[in-house]
Amino acid sequence: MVIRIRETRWSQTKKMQKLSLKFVSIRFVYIIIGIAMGLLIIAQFRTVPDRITNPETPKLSLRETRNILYDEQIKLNDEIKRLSQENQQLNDEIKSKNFINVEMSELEWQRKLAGLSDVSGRGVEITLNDSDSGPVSEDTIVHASDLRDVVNYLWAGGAEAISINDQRIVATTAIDCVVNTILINNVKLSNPFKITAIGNSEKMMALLSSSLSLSDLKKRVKANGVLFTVKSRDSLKIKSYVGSFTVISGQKQ
Amino acid sequence: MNYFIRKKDWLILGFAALILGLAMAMHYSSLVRPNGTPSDDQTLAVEIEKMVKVNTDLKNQVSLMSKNNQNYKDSLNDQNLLDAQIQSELRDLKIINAVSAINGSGVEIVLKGRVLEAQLIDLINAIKNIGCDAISINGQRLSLFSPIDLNRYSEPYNIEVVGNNSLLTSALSRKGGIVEQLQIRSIDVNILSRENMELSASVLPQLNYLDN
Repeated sequence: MVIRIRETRWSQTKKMQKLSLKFVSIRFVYIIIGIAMGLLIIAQFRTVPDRITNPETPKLSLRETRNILYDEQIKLNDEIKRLSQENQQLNDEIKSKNFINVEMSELEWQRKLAGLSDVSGRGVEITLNDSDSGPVSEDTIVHASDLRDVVNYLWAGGAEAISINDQRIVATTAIDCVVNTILINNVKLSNPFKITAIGNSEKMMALLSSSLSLSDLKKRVKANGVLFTVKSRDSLKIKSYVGSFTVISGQKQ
Repeated sequence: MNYFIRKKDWLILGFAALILGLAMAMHYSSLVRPNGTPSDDQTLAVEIEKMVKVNTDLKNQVSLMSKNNQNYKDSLNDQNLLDAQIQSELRDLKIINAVSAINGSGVEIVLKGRVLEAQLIDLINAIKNIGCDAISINGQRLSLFSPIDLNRYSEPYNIEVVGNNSLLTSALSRKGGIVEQLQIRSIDVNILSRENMELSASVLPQLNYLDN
């Protein structure tokens, strides 16, 4: 009987010990969670800035600025077109008043050289376009550097006038990329890119199709489906450059 | 009794874990949201930077063309004025077409190393983008019709540019710019500002294919 009572007490003590251990461990877990929550709440309060700010505001502001600049760009380009037409009318008026002299005909020639008059003749037409197969990557799109390389080969092939999507390439023309578009003569262009070149079409075609030329572009044409075609044309028209030139730093000798 | 405590504890633990999860999510989102997607903002900023430059160039064009047209209007009934206006335009066009020599301030860029043709094309393009009056490579003046052909030049490549020397120097050497890109590729680039330099005229090719 005494042994049984002792056994029962011993078993109860063991149960109590187990129970208190469980309580201790649960409390320990509560303490850990409490500390973690406390730390997070402090971090949260510290993260919230004192001033009330809208996280989207800077982005909205940037987009608004871009739109304002874009509208301004359209108006300025329209104004340049108008001034260019006015300049042409003035030139016609000067000619009609019999003011033509040696300088005037020299001026006409220099304007033609500089790309300030419409020209026509035989040559080549090149089309460059992004690949329409597979996921978009650096290798599947047409880059400004591709256009620069093609234009350089066309000059090497004896081109006498070049335009890309009706933008005449002149001495001051830079070909650059602006995000997803190409910027030529301060005008944004997007694909497909049609490059028109007047000149010796046989020589230009031979240079462009040579295995030594445009190796990077041709690799992407083969592997990634970038579109690149060159066609000979008997009759092509290239519009004049819309704008004018000025010399700022240099002086003619 | 034992069972009751266990169930209650689990409920409290579950609730606490839920609160903890929510707090963590809130904290994470508060850390991420103000920054947005950095690439979006950067892309927009780059686009705006370029647009500002484009619009400045366009405004300069408008101003120049308006002045030019006004000068022609004023000279319509005056032969002397007209001659002066024609001479002025002719002088500028001859420089642009590289058929007359030019002197003025500018920069001299010296490239040493294994330069590729594409890199030279990119550099000349960057110079044109900044703006200049005339360019020559190793003494050969570039005209509109000049291709960049490495076979025509030998190292070191000495590029002379007539233009605004401070603008050209700062724009070319800006961080991440064309000069840094060349230097990364082990090309030694030296930009020297010049107050007076002289670039000779180039020989124009014969133009046989332009009808008009």
